Amino acid sequence: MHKEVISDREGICLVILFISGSTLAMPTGAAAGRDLWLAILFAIVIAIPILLIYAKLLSLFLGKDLFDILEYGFGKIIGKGIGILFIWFAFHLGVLSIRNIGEFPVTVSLPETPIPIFTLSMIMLAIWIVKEGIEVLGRWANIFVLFNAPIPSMIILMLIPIMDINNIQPILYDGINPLLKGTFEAFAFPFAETVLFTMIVSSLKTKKSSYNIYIKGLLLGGMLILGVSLTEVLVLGPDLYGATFFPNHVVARKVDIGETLQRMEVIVILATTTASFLKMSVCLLAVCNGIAKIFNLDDYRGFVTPIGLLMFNFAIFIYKSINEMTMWASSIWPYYAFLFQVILPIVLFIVVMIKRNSVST
Amino acid sequence: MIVVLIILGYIVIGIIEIVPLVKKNQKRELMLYSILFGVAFVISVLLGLGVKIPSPAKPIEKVVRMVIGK
Repeated sequence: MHKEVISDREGICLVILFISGSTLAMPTGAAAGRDLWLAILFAIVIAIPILLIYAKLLSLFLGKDLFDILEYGFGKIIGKGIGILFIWFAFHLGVLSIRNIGEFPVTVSLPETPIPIFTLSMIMLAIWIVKEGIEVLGRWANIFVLFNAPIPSMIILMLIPIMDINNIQPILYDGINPLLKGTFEAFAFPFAETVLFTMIVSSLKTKKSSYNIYIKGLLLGGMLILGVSLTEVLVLGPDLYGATFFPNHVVARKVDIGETLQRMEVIVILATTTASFLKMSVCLLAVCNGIAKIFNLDDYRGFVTPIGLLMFNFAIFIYKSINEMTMWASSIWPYYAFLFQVILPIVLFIVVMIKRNSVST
Repeated sequence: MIVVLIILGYIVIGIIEIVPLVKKNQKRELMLYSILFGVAFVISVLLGLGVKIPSPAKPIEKVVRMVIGK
């Protein structure tokens, strides 16, 4: 079997699409209210050192992924145990994004259609692309990033006439606490979820690639999220932003230039669907890769389908309604994900550094 | 009715995916595949019958709330 390699450019596109995945649709950091843009900015700044740790881990062990590094760091049994926890995390994130992609069209445009129709068609495609491997996923991202970066920017430009600067003034009116809470949410919801890339990107070109991919992807994807969220708050105001399930869609409906350029929400649905599709494919790939590593199998392709079907099933019964989903995503998810995004990688990093130093001296 | 469709769907997927695995004689992969496939099949059928399956989100929520003390 030949070794799969993805180029830096493809990696950056993957990270951009992954970050913007569900976040283009669902509101993040709504707790910060009118200071949302500050919260997202802070979240990007805080995410940089954490992502540098992931990148450092990947570049220390070129050609290996998180599960190999866990085994190196903690030994065979504990390493595999923590690996299983990470697999669950990736699985849960995949389930969340599948549910998200199912709720989105049902809520905004097709209320009579059952959710499984959308999720099943998406999971079929995800199973297919994961079976083709990360190279195909990278090339796919390389093309579809065009739908996600320039088109929202165009919509932002079209929305300038109805923006109201008073929606974000006065800055820090409610004090620092809501800002910190929003920062925490925004940090956990899109940015630090990129920990999943340590589970799949075992095929980089050089030692510098991981830094390149993580930092450039974070900055570009973060800028996209920042621009879109700022527009949403400027147009809708902080209260409406927190109250709608999919503010991006609501905002795009408001585009109306000379009564000819209208109904831009179709473009938003396109962008959201492609990005969320990539997000769930990455999650599926991470789960499959992890299970293959835990059971010492050479290839993960053999059992992509049952895992995809499991994800599809879980997505149906994990939350009862969209209300429960948004509540979970904003109030439980950041704390739950903190363990996987920050605590475990930092512990692993420290252990690995100590081990390496003691070996070399 | 929907259960019949689910069973048919799983049979089709099974024929497409399991037969090559059996031919290649990969025992470990076949076992793993059958376990995962069986679990997915059971959950699908239960959902098709309208059984309420307890969501894993609830216990996680409880643990998280316990840890952060809210």
